Amino acid sequence: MSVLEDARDGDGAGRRQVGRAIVGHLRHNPFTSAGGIIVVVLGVVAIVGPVVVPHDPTTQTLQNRLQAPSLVHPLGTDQLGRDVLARIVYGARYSLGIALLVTAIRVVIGTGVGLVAGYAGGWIDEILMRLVDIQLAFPGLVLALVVAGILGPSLRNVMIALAVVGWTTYARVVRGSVLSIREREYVAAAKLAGTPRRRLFRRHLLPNVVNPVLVIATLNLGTVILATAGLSFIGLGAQPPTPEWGTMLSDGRNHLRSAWWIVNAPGVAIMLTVLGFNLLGDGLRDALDPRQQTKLEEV
Amino acid sequence: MTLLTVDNLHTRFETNDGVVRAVDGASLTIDRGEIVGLVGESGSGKSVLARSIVGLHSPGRIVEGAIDFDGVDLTDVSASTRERYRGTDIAMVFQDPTATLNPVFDVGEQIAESLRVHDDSSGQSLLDFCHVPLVSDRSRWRRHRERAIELMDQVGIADPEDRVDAYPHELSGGMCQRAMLAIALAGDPDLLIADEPTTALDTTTQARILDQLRELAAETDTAVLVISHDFGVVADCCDRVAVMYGGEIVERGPTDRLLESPEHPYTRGLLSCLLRADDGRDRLPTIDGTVPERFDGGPGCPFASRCSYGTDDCERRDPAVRTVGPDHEVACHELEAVRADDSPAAAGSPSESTPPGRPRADPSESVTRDRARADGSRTIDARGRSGSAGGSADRGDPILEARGVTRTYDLADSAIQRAFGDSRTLRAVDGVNLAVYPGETVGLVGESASGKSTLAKLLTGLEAPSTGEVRFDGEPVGTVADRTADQLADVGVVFQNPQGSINPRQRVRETIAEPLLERGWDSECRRERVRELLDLVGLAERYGSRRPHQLSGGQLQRVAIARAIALEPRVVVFDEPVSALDVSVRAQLLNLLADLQRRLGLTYLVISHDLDVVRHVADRVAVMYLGEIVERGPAERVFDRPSHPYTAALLEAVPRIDDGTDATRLEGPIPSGVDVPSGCRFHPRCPIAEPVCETDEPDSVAVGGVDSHCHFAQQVASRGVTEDSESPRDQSPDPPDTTTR
Repeated sequence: MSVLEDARDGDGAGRRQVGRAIVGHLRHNPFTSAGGIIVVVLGVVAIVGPVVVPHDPTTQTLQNRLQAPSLVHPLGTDQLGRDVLARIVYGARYSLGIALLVTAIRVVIGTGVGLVAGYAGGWIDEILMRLVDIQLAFPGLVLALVVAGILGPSLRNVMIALAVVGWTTYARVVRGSVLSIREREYVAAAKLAGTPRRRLFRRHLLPNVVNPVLVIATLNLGTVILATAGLSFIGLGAQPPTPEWGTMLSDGRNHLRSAWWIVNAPGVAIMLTVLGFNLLGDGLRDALDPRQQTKLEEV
Repeated sequence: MTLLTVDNLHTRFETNDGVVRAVDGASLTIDRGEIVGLVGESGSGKSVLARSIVGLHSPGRIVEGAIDFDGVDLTDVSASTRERYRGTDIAMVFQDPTATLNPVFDVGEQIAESLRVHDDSSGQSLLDFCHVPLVSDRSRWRRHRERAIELMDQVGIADPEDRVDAYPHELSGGMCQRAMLAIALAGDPDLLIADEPTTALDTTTQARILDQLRELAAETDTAVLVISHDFGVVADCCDRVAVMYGGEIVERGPTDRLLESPEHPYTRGLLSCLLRADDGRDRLPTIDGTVPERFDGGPGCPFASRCSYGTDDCERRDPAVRTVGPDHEVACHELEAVRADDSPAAAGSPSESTPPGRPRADPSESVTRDRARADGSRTIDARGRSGSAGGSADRGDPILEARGVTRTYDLADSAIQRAFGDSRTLRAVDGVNLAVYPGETVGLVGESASGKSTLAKLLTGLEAPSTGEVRFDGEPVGTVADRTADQLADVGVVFQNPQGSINPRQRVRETIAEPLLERGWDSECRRERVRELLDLVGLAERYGSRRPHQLSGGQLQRVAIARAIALEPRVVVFDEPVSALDVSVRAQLLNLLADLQRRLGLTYLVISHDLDVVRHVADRVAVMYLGEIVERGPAERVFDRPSHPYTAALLEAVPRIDDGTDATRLEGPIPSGVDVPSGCRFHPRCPIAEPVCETDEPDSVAVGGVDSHCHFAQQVASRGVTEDSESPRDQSPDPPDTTTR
């Protein structure tokens, strides 16, 4: 019995081992850790930021309009005299909240469709997958634009539009995994044990498709933030005075020459957030690679 | 004339958990035209040694030692120089041919590619590669193609002109491995390294590939290093053998000498694990313990922890290499003690404290494990099996029975193809009758694609038969979805690949408890039963909380067995239970199967392409070919005096360490079940086929208790296996390919 195996005997020791492996992975991948740090900082800002920031994001103080960054207003004020930093901090809540919610809806719909299509096969699979194909025939953002346009401009409708167009990736990936997993012998063994279909899904199929879904979801968060900002920018999403990053960009573009900070602050915020999620997603993909599974599968 | 000298080589891997010394001071020499075998269990460092020689040991590092190839130290040259050696001077063939060949190019192209690489250094232009008409240089392409055909012919691919355009998926595993061999030979190497070249192949194919290697070495004066975990394979074709353990060569010498008088306890252990024809049903000797995951690299003999002769000295000092005979060296401290213990079979392990004889016929022990079943009606007591094995008088009614079962697969891919009448069907199982009686072990043998596994799926209800019916306890049963909970509980199944049959995301405990959960056991009972089961299959209780990736292949297979017997089934179906495992682990598992059968009164159906395994465990045996059972009868009868030429051919293909006779090799691959040959299905490959075989389907002939589907069953049976295989007629349509050593 080797040292390694002994260490894994106890559950606590096993977890320490896994923890060390994650730390090892992060240490060897500065980009992943950078992405992780950005995401964590963003989360903290979204949760506690509004309590700390002294200004209100919607209070207009017209005599302070278009002030350059200063000690009182670290990121300056916009054309209505609102503090840009406060708006960015509150905006983080909207951006993150929308991204999480939309991605969650996408994951649930997509994984569900993928599981059913992959496991059932036959004409059910055929119908569901053709549905996916039809959906994919339209560019995602254009379709979201149409949906949001029909439903009318509001943040809620943007979320609905984005959720409706984005689930197809999950459906395809999950279906592909299920097609291979359902032929595995442990699924046959479970059937021989009399496992009912619901439990087969929950215990054997679902846990084995979690990894790819997790990776896509992380990368997706960034895209959703970008898409939300885009739709808000053209006026379909958040309506003024909601401090949403896309809306802020749209508001500030008229003052690009005279007050650069109004546009740059939300622009940099969006860029950093998307970058953070992408870096983290790439890192996760490497970490959850099957070849790394021996070390990280309990993550 | 020494071609390659590996001297005191150390290859190490840096991992998150520390340094792994994969190769730890190994030394080896190979002469030109010589075949050297490298033997050891998984994890002993064989493959890393081979990869170090060709320079594919990355991410490992060679930290010490020299690899002298034809006067050049390969550890001392630049990466680009090493690259030049690869292929031209040193070539390698890997274990799984279907994974090594690129699926998107035809075989001829892949051989030609390797020719191009070695042909000239100018490289290939994109235009040539794309075969642009009028512009590309077709003459060179044609030259390479002709050479590829030559090479394919040389490695024994029949009809190379047709096969050169075939894609890997159109060829059988054996053909792919030959193609790999052709690719390796394209650069006309001085040294060919074959890493487990036949492990993924059938016994019949394996025999022919090994013949091929031997011929090539003789013809082209190429040195060959054959790596295998199976001593039988190595014994069959090698001039010299090196035994590796813990990154060190523990013993090396001429093959004959090593087989006759092995010195190192590890060599003795490995040899004793082999199944022999005359073993009978005795308990197999094993090597205690498993190969450690890593060796700490301190001084001492790596085998000390598992060696029954181990002393304190073994753990403290490195054993010196001693020369014990001509060209025969051993690294062991306790040679005198080992020699004193004269019989090689008794070496290696105290685990054979079980008295020899037929332990599973001992009724006194079975009582101790008697588990009262809820209904109490079942006899748990294992009965004396020798009496019931042959005769049908006291067998009672079959537990599991297939009646005229046929399974066909529709090969048309889409509704469109079907609509245009392209309805080819594959007959995987064709009208099979098979009955399994309580308390016996039935063996089912045959090559890949003979329909064994499909039959197992039909019997266990994982698939539905196209026609015919499966009966359990005399009642017709459907597929898994239709079977009652009781019927499901009564049949256990163990699959071939333990890694694939256990959910990687569940703990061992959860995997074993799965059938119990479905049966509605509460968590307390489940925990108790899992503890019992772990004990029953010989795993410590702490394994319950582990994940599958923390277990070795043998341990995983034990978990799979525990799951199969969790609900105390009456029949257990084993689909190739030990094919994926090392010989030493195989012996341990076969002992476990025998123990479990004795303790729990189980009935077994064992499916395997490995005749030695089936001979060891089975009372009755059925031989399957192309979806039909061609011969069936008591195991000893069938194996000692086969009455069907297919059975005879299968038996002769088994590599033996104890015979040096020339063997008849079965020619060609098994035909596809789509175009089944007329008359006797075996006639295109049969060494004794007559015109009548082509037209008439043979009826069942009874030859001394054996049921045989052959027109010449009597003649085949009277001839025996070991005698010279002389055809009843001199010019048989398909003469056997007789090769000489």
